[in-house]
Amino acid sequence: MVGRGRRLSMLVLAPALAGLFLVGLFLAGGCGNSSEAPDSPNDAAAVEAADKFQGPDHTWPAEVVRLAESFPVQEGGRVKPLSTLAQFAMLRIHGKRTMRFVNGRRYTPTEWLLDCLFYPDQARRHEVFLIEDWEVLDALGLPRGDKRRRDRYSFEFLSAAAKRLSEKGSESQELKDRKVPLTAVQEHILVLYHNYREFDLLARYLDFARVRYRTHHPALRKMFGGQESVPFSQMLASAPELMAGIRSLMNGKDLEESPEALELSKYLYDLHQLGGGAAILAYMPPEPGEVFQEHSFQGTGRTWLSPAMLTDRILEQRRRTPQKIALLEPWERLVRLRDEPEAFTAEFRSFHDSIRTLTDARGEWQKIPMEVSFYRADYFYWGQILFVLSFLLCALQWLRPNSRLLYRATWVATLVPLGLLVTGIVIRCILRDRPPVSTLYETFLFITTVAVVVAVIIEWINRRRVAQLVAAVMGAVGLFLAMGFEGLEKQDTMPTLLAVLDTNFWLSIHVTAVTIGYAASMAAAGIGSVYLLSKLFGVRRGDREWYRHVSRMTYGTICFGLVFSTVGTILGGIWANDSWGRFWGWDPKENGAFMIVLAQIAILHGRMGGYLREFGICLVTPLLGVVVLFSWFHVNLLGVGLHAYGFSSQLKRGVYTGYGVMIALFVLGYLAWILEQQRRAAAKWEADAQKVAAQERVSTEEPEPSPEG
Amino acid sequence: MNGEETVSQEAESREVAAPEVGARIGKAIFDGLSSFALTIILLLFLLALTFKGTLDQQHMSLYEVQSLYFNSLFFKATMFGVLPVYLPGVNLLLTILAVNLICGGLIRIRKKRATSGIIIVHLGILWMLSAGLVEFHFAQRGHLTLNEHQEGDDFVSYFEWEIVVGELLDGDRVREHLIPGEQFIDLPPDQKATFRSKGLPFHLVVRRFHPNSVPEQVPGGNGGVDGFFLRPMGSFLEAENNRAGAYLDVVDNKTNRRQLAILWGGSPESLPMTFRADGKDWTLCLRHTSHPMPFRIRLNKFTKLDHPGTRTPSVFSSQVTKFEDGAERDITISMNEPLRRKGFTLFQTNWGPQDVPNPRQLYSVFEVVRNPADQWPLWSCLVIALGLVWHFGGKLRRYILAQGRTA
Repeated sequence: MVGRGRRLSMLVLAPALAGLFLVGLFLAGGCGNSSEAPDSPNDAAAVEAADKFQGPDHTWPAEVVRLAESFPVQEGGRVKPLSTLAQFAMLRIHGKRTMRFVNGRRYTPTEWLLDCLFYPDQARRHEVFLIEDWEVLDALGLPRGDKRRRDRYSFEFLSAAAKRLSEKGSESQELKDRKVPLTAVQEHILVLYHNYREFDLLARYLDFARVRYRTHHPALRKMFGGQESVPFSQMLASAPELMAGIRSLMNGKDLEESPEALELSKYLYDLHQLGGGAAILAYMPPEPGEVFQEHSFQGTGRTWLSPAMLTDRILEQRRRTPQKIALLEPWERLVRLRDEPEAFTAEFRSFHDSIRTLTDARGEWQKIPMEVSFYRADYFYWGQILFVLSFLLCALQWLRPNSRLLYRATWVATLVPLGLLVTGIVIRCILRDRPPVSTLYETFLFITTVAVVVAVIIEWINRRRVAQLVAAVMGAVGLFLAMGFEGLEKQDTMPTLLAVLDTNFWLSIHVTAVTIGYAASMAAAGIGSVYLLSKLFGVRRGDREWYRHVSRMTYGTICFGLVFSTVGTILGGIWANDSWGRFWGWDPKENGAFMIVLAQIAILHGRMGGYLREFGICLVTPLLGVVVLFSWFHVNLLGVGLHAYGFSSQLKRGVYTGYGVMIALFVLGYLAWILEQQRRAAAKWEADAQKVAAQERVSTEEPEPSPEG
Repeated sequence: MNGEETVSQEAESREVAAPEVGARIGKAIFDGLSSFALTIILLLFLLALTFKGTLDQQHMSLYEVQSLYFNSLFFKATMFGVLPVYLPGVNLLLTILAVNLICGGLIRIRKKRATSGIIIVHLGILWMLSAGLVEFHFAQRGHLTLNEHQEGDDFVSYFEWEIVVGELLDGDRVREHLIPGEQFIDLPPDQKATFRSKGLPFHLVVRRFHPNSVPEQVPGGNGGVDGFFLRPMGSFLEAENNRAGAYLDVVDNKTNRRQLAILWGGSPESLPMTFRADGKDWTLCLRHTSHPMPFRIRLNKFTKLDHPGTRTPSVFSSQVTKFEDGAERDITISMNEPLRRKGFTLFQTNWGPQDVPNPRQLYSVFEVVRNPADQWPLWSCLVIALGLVWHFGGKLRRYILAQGRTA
C-alpha cells in the first residue's frame, strides 16, 4: 500500500513539476537561457561593451592549467582529457586553437575553457565567435560596425540577436534535416547557432555551483539543521526528503491547492534547471558494478555522469548517490576561491587527484597523459613545417646539383618529419586501440605517410633526387590537407566507431590495404607530374636516361599500388560478405575502389600492349589521381550507400579543386607531349634537310667524271 | 588444253586456300579476342559504367541501378536527349573480359617463368568471375525477422514476388500452390498470363503487374475492382520497400465464371483474398517469395548497446538457438559474426522497433543468404595476391639489382 501511494503521489507530482518546468522556461525567455539579453538588434551598449574588452584581468596559474589539461571527462563515447574537449570546442567556435586579445595576451583552449567555467562574465566578452560573412550579421539584424567581412564577435554582442538566431538556426536545421540545400548564409547561421548554444552551455555549466539556497521555510530549516542557506549539492542530496515533504504537504490534493507544497516544489524546479544546465562535462566515473540506464536500452556500466545526469537520476529515478554528490562539492569551493590563486590551485589539485584516482581504478587514466602530450607535441604541424624545409632543400639542389651536403641535409629533412608522422600515427593507434585508418581524417595521415615512404624507398634505390622531391611535396601537401580537413570538420578526430566498423581485424587488413593503394596511386600521380612538368619546362632536356628512370619509377609505383588496391578491394568484398551477406553490392565506395583497380589495370595493359610508353604512362597518372580523388572523397559527398561515413559538404570545394589540379596537370602534360612531338618533327625535318643539303652539296661538288674515270 | 589446265589449277588452289582463309579468320578472331586493345576497351567501358552507376545512385534505387547497368547484357541510353543507343551492360562486358582473359591471359601468353605470376593472377580473376556468375544465377537472398522468443525456418526474399493459392484442407492445414514471380512480373501491358493447375478447379489470368503500387478507392466509388484500383508508383530508393500489386481474374473451369481481383503485396499475410470454388474455400495472395531453411532458429534475446553517453551503436547481437535434426545449439549472431550452416549464412542486419521509446519487445532481422560460391572470393583473393606478389616482387627484385649494378 505504501508503495502504491507513493507511486500515485509521484503521478501527481511529476506533471506538476513538468508544468512548473514549462512555466519556468516561459519566464526564462523561451529557450532556457537565463543569461540572454532582450532581442534588440541595435543594442549599441552591447556593441560598445564588446568593443571595449581588452582581455582577461586574471592569469591562470600554470599548475591549474596543467591539471585542467589532463582532467578526465567522457565525451562522444570515450574518456579524454579536458584539453582535447576544449581545443575542439574552441576550433568549432573560434576557428583556431589559440586566442589572442587586444592587449596582446594569448589563450590556450584550456585557459579559455577555464574562463568559461569560472569567469563566464568575462568569457562572454571574449571575441570568440567566428562569423564567416557579415551577411550573417545582416540576417540577424546586427550592426557590421568596423569589422571585416570575416571576423570574430563576442557572446555578449550576439546575445542582442539571440532570439532571431534561435529562430533562424532552428529553421536552417529543419531544412537540413529535410535534405533541402542551404544557402551559404543559412549554413553559416546554422553553425553559429550550434556554436552559440555550445558556448552558452559551457558558460552556464557552473551556475549550480554559484547558487546558495536560503532555507526560509521551516521545513527546510529543520531539514538542514538550522542552516540559513545551503549549496546546490546539499539541496540535491536532500531532494528525496524534499519530495517526501511536498507529498505530505499536498496530502492528496493538487499542487496548486497547497501553497506550501508549491513553494517547496520551486526548489525542485530550480534544482532541475540548474543541474540540467550542467550537461556538457561528464566527469564522474561510475563505480564498479554501477550501471546507468541510458535511453531505452540497458547501460554498459561505462557511462560517466555529468551534474545534469546526476540531477536527473536523483529527481526522476529517485536514486541516492552520496559518492557522486561529493563530486559536486569541489566545484562549489572552486567557484568561491577563483580569485585566490594559491587556495584555488590546492583545491583544484585535490579535485583532480580524486577524479584521477577514480579513473585510474577503472583503468581509464593511463591514456590521458599520453593524449595530452600528443596534442601538445603537435607532431603533424611540425612535420608539415619540416616537409616544407625539405622541399626548399630540394629546390636548392637544383641550383647545386652536385652538393653532397645538400643531398644529405635533404635526406634528414625528409626522414625527420616522416618519423614525426609515423610517431603521431602510432600514438593515435595506441590511444584508440585501432589500426591506423578508421576515419576519413586518418586516411590523410596514412596516405601521406605511405606516399612518403614509397618515395623515400624509390629514392634510396635509384638516388635520382626525383622521389626525394615527391616525398617533400606529398608530405607537405598531405599534412596541409589533413590539418585543413580537421579545421573543416572541427570534431574530435578520434571518434567512436559504428558497430559494423568495430572490427580491428578487417580495419587492419582491408582499410589499410586499400589506403596503401590510394597512397601509391597518388604517389604515382606525383612522380608522373614531375616528369610532365619537367618536360614542359625543359628540365634536363637532353638527359633521356633521367626521363626514362622517372617513367620507370611511375610505372613501379602503379604496380605497387595495384597489388594493394586489388587485394584491398577484394578483402573489402570479403568483409562485406561477412557483415552484410554479399560480396559485392555496387555501393559507391566499393565502386570507387573498383574504379581505381580498373584504371591501374588499364594503364598497365596499355603499357604492355605498347599503347602507353615512357611519356604516355606519366601522362595518364593525373587521370589516375582523379579516379583516386573520386573514390577517396567524392563518393562520400553523394550521401548514399553504406560507406557514406565521412560526409562533409565543405569537402566539396576541396575535391573539385583537386580535380582541377589533376586535370590541369594532364592538360599541361598533353601540351608538353605536343611540344615534344613538334620538337622531334622539327629536329627530324632539320636533320633531313641537312642530309639533303649535304647530299646536294656532295653532288654539286663532285667533279665531272673524267674520261679516264 | 590450256584452258582446262587453268581451271583445274584454280580448283586446286581453291581447295588449298579454303582452310588457309578459315585459319586466317579463326586466327584473326582469336587475336582480336586475346588482344590488349580489347582488354583496354573493356576495362575503360567498365570504368565508365561503374562511374555512371555510382552517380545515378543519387536519384535511382540501388536495385534499379544494378538491374540497369550491372546485371544486364545491354541497356538503352539516349544520346543528346533523343538518339536511343544500346550499350553493353556489365554482365556482357565481364563475359567478354573472361573470354579475353582466357584467350590472351592464359592461352596466348608466353608460358615462362617471368609470366607465371600473371598467369596465376588471371586464374584467380577467372575464379572470382565464376564466383560472381554462380552467385548471380544461383544465390538466394532474403530476410528472417523474429521477435524475441519467436522461431522461424524460412526466409523471405527482398525483391522476388509470388502468387500463392491457398487450399484450405481439413483442420488448420493449408496446401499452397505457387506461381513464381518470373512468370508474370515482366508482363507487357497489352498481354495476359494464364495459369492452370490440375489440382485446381479454376485458373488464374494475371492481367497487369505493378512493381510498386498502392490500392486506392475509385473517386465516387464506382468502377475498378469493388471500387478500388491500384495506383502505380515509382520505385523507392530502397527497392525492398516496394509493394507490388496485380490485377487478375479467377475463372471457374466448369462455368467459366470470372471473378475480378486485386492482389496487393502490402499486407499479404494479414489480408489474403478469400473465395469459394468447387465447394471449397480458397485464399489468394501476392507476397515476397519465401524460401525454406534446413534448420530452425529461435531468437532468445536481442542486445543493442551504445557507446557510453552517446546514441552511436557499438554492438548489435542476437542470441539464438538453432534446432536441427533433433539437436539444439545456442549461438550468438552479431555484426561481422554471422552464422554459417549447410550453405546458408545468417547475418545480423537490422532490429526494431526503433521509433518506439522503451519497447517491451524487440525484434531482430537476419539477412539470409544461400550462395554456393560463398567462400570462393576469399580463395580467389589469396590466389590473386600470390600471383601479384610473385610477379611484381620479381620485377622489383630485378629493378633493384639493375640499379645496384648501375651504381
